[in-house]
Parts: sequence; C-alpha cells; structure tokens
Amino acid sequence: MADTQPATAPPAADTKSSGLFVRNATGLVRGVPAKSSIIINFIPGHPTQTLAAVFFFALTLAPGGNVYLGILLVIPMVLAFSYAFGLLTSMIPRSGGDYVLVSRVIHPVAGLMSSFCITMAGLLSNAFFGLAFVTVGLGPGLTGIGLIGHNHTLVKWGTTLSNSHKWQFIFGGLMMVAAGLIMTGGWRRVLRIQNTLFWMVTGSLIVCGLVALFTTHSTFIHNFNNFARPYTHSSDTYGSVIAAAHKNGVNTNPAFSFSSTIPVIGILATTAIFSYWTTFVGGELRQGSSRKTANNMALGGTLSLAAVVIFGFIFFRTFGHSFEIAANSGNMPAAISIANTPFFFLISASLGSTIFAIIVFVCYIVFWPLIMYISMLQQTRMLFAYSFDGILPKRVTTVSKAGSPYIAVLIAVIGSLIVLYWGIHSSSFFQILAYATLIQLVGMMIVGLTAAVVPWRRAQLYRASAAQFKILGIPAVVVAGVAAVISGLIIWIVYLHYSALGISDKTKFFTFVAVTLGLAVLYYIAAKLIRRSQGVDIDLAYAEVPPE
Amino acid sequence: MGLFGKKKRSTPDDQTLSLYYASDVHGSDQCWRKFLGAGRFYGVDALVMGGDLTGKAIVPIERNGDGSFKATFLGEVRRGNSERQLDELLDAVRYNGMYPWISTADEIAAHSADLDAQSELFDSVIVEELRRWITLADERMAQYGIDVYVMPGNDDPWSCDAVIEHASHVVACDDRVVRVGEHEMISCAYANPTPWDSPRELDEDALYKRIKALADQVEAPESAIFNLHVPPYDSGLDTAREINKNLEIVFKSGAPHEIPVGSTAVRQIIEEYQPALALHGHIHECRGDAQIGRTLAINSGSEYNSGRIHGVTVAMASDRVLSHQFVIG
Repeated sequence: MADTQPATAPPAADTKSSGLFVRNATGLVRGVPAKSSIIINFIPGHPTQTLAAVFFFALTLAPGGNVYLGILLVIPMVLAFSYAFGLLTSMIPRSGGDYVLVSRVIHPVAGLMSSFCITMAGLLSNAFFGLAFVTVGLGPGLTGIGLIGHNHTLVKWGTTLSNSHKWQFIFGGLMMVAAGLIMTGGWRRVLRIQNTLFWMVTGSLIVCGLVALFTTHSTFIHNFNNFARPYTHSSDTYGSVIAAAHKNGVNTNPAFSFSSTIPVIGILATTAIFSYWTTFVGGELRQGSSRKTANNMALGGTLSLAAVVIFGFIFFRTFGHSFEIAANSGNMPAAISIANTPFFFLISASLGSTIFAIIVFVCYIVFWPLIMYISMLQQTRMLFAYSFDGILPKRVTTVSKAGSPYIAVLIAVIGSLIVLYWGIHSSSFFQILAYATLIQLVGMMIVGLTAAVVPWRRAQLYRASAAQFKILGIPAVVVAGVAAVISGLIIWIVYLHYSALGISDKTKFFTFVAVTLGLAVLYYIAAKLIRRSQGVDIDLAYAEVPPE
Repeated sequence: MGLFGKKKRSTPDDQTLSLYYASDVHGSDQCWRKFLGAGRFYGVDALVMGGDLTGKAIVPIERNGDGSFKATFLGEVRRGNSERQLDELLDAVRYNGMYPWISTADEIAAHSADLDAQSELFDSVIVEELRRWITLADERMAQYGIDVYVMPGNDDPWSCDAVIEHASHVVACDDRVVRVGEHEMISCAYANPTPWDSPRELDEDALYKRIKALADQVEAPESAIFNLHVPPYDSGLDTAREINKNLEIVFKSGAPHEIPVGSTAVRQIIEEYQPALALHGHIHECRGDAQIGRTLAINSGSEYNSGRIHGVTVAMASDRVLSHQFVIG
C-alpha cells in the first residue's frame, strides 16, 4: 500500500506531467509537501540562533571579521553537506540518517563510527541548548522584561538564573523534558507543535526585524538612552557603552581583516551547516528518491543564511556596529547588562513596551525546545535504526498508540541530562559548542566519504537513482562528498588554529574523538558477540544479498 | 528476558523450519532476484513471497529514428543516443520497480490519451516480466533444493495467477493450505478496501469469511503460519497516512493524519486461531513485529525502489517462533 519511500509514480491524473503510465494500485500518492522538510532543515541554522552566535561570538572573538563574507564562504560548505547527505538519502530513503547511509555503503563499523560521533555531538548540542535556554534565553529574557517594566524581582530572577549552576540544570533539564514531551505524541502532533513553535520564533524575529527596519539609527539611540536613563542616570548611555569599550581597549570599529573572517566561518559552522536534518526522518516524510530531498536541504540551509544576512543587516544598521561590539564585549553598564544583548531586548527597550517585550520573549524562548526536539530526531531515529539491525534491544522501538517512540525519547532525554550536568559543572560554554561541532564534523566527513565512493561501492543503486547526474563530467554526489570532506577539514583546522573558539586543550580533544570512535568499534564487536550467542548473525542485517 | 529480548536460549534441536519472508517487491527486478538469492544467502529452508509482485508504472521511452531516446524518469528528463545509455536507463527503470516501454513518439502519444490501451499494455508487460521471474525461480530454486511459496497481493492483476500456477517448482500458495516443512500455511492475497480500488479487495465481512474458510482447514493452528497480505488492524503494523478520495494525503492541523488501515477481519482471525506466526506486507512503512496473544505478527516492510529487499528470517520450533531477524538485503 502506501510507500515508505516517496511515491515516484504519481496518481493517474498526473500521468501527463510525469511522463509515466500508471495503473490503479495502492500507494500512488503525492508525498508530503516540501514545507515540513524545508522547515526541519531550516531550524538548525535558524537566524535566531545564528544571529545570537554572530552577535555573541563573532563580534568579540573575531574583531575585523566580516560576517557577510563569512556567510558567503560558508554557503559552499552548506551546499556540500546538503548534497552529500541529500543525494545519499535519495538513494537510500530510510530513517536513521548517517548510520544507515554509511553502514549500507561502506561498512557497519564505519556507520557506527559516524553515528557515535553525530550522536555524541547531538548530546553535547542538547547540553548546549539546555544551557543556552537559561543563560541566553530565560535569564536575559526575564532580566530584559524586568528592566523594561521596571520590575526588580524579574531582574533578580533573570540574573540568578543566568549565574546559578543549580538553576541552569533545573531549567535546562525541564526544557529537555519539554522537548521530549513534544515527541511523545506521534508525528501528527509533533509536526503540529513543530510548525507552531517555528512560526512563533520566526514571527518574533520578523516582527523585531520590521520594527528595527522602521526605526532609524538615531531614533534607536534616542529611545535606548531614554530606556537606560533611570538605571544609568546618564543622558547618553549608548555613547558611554562605546566609550567604555574604548577605555577597555576594545576596538569598536575594527578595519576589515580576512584573517579575522576565518574564525567567523568556524562560528557560523556551529549552526549553519546542519541543514541536512531530514536525512534522519527521510523515510517518514516521504521526501524520498527524487533530487528534491537534496534540494530541500540546500534550500533550508541557504534560506536560513539569507535570513541571517537580511536581519543581521537590519539590526546592525539600527543598533550600530560599534554598539553591538561594545555591548557584547561586556561594556554595558552593570545595571542594564544582559548576556548576549539579544535583539529582542534592544528592540523592546527601544519601543519601551513591556507587553511587546513579553510577547517577543515568549516567542523567542520557544526556539530552544524547538531546536532541542530537532536535535533529538537524530537520536531517536538512530536508536530505531540500531534496533532494526539487531544491535539494540527491540523494546527500544516500542511505540505508543499514537506512534510515539517514547522509550527512544526517554533514552535521548536521560542522555542529554547527563551531558548537561557535565556541561554545566565541568566545561565551558565555548568548549561544549566546539566539541559538539567538531565531533559532528567527523560523522559528516564520513558521510562525505561515503558520498564520494558510492558510485563505485553501490554502482547499480547509483545508476538507478535520481542522484545520477554529473558536474563537469564528475558524478555530482562525488563532487558533494569530496567538498563535504574538504569543508569538514577546513572547519577542523580553523578550530584547532583559533583556540579561542573552544579547543584550548588539543590532547584532551583528540582523546575524546578517539574514545568516541573506539567505543563505536567496541559496541559493534559486543553486539555481534551477544547476538551470536543468541543464534543471530547481525552481519546479515547489513549484508547485501547477491541477486540470482 | 535477555538483553536483546530473547526469552530463552534455544538449541538447534528445537528448530523445525527456517524461512525468509519478503513482500511488496512491486516489479523491482533487483528485489525479486535478491529474494531468490536470499535462500542460499541466509541458509533457510523456504522462501515466502507475500504478494504485490507487480510494478505500478510504465516508463515510456521515446526512441527516434537516429537512435536517440528521451524519457522522463524520477522527475528528470533523461536523454541519450547510444545503446549503452539506453541499457543503463532500462536497468534503472527496472531497478526502481517500473517497466520500461520503448516506442515512437506517436505511439506514446496515442497511449497517453487512451486508458484502455494503457491497461492492455500493462497486462502485456506484467505477464511477460512475471513469467521471466517465475522461470528464473523454477530453474534456480529447484537446483538448490529451496522451497519457494509465492502469492499475489491486492495490487496484482488477475493475469498473474496463471503465471504462478503454471510454475514447476514455485508453489502457488494463495487461497489454499500448503505445507512448509512440517507447518501448515494458509495464504490470502486480498486486502480490505483501499482508496485505490485495487484488483483484489473485499469488505471486512467477506474477507473474514474467506480467511476463516481457509483457517478451518488447518489441522494444527498452534503451529501454523498465516500468510495474509494485509496486516491486522491497529496492530502497529498498519499505520499509514489517511488518503482522501482524490488520493491525496489528508492533513490535519498542518500535518499528515495517520490512521490504522489494516484489516479487522485479519485481526479477528489471528485472535481466534492464534497461529504461531502471521506474515504480512501491504503497508510498506510499517515494518515491525507485534504480539497478538501467542501469535507473532510480522510486517516485513518494503523499499523496493531502493534496490534493497526488506525481509525477515524466522526460525520456528514446532509450535512457536524461536527467533526472527529483520534484514535488508
């Protein structure tokens, strides 16, 4: 009946446009419209998060770096990863993502290596999201609303949340549980919540962008000074923020530097290069075996970067580049200092409306459970793929009546809570992000390698797929795969070169990578031995049957 | 219960039968040949094909006098002018479970406008392809001594039946009781009604009566295999997106609406007769297993156009399933 893979043959009514003759048979349905797929691929690089990374990290860590040039340089990487993952997914349209793609093309051990890296990155990212939810979301949000509404209690709460490890873990953990709950209701409810949250976040960004667009730079300065006056007792707080930065040796108007633009690539890579997320649920969303799978990944990634450019330009123009650098370098007066100086706070402060601040804050804050849920799609689908291959207990795949993989969700939430605890107590914000990005890139490079060899390793599959097209005489999937590996290496080099991006102890980091890869090998051996003792050969789950 | 869900270790002495089950290959030449190859590869006693053998689409390939050709395939226009390129396209079409049809622009245009002509064309290409498949199975499986049981599914046109019935080694198992090793097996190709009005559909009452008539002939239901194309209703093996009368996915609140679409008749039969094993296909995305009383019900799933055949190997003792493993070959 209905296909897991997208229906390549359309209903009879579409015969003329498709060029096919079709007969009355089950399963001939149109796939899910591209919207859900593009949204899923858009979310990891959502401008709300990328702008926060740009404002918070890029301006302070890479003064003189040009964000727009950085985005321009990252776009080929986005396309490389999108098409490497996308074309492979169109050839093997199954849920499970990199694990399925790599294990079926190269070897199950390579699949597990990739999967362990991406899962480890997922858990680290979840810890980051949990931490960021409190330290750049909830805390600054409450402080901002309190400041705008002159509510000292809210300001105090916000400050406490931002600085207390205990509250970071409690609220970060609660957010994780909330994200897990999103997934416990089956696809129908999940997608409804996903789209609602997505439009809340995006809507708040658009509203803030529109307000900023129609607020001149001088009006913003005037309004900001009015907002700050009761706290700073200064008529030119805006100017004093920049002056304080100068006094502290911060160059708020640095000359363009290409060498400073390079770390911007690394910073953008923390959010912008993961637009291949539908690979993990491809079999469920029926994006299937056409090139649209890859195109939707590329579209999700480039649209999010385009939005970063547009909104970044608007916010920089309204707030002022020098002010953003000064504010994010710790030069805001203590009385109105807010981590990350989020755009929604500045816009709300400019408008002087508490109600507006509350609305945009609430719409902004839901980004974190949204991105957390997106991240957990990888972990839950990976667990399913493991289980189907017989390397995890079958009970992991238990689903509720509504179709929710609640045991897999529970495992993902518990794993994330453990890493969150570690992240809060044993590491730094930068380090979590750097480790997550780089370990994920190992998996992504393995997928790139898989794409580069698939025309030879799975020649028949490649020839029969929509991925079979060439660029300058070279298979496009090979071009994408090689470009993905090169992109991964470039980002690795950037991170290893610029220790300020979070890799200060290289030995510790390489040990972390080696242990992750080693665990994958050990896991495979252990699973194989256990299953063999039960009379089951797990190699059969992967092995391709020779056709008669 | 052990770590991987095994209740107790079984010795080889318990095993009475090993089989490989797959379904819904939908015209994929690659999957059919892998189905046959699975016998030796997995070292099983028997192969069971659960229906829906035939493809759903024909890809017309426009061939011109100068040898050049053009076809629309997987959403892309493919052109070429050499025999090698044409062969590659033919392989790709068959690999994806479709039937290539080489003809002139005029013939293609004529068929495009004539649904009766398309129907005749389908019958012709389906029978020709299936005959080739069955001949291959007869020759190879007899040589290897592996039993092969094949039935059509709800999507398969009636012209398929004669081709399967005339096989020499392949056992046509639909609508009868056959022996698979020491186990009795009943098979039913019919499905409950679908939005597509496929060739073999019955309402639930008629479907129940049809299967019950077969089940009543089984001497030992507790050791039997029920090979029923459609899965039991609301078993987790039958969840699919709801389709409206225009064959479009029903969306509710912006998301596809998923519903159980299996058969209540099949569920009732399984609950009443409690066979050791129930094998199903039909809902491609619902690969998995479910326990219904003492019956292990399995849907092998399908991704026929990926060139990998989804199947399951099952080891059986006289009155129960010892172990099973989902495989993608």
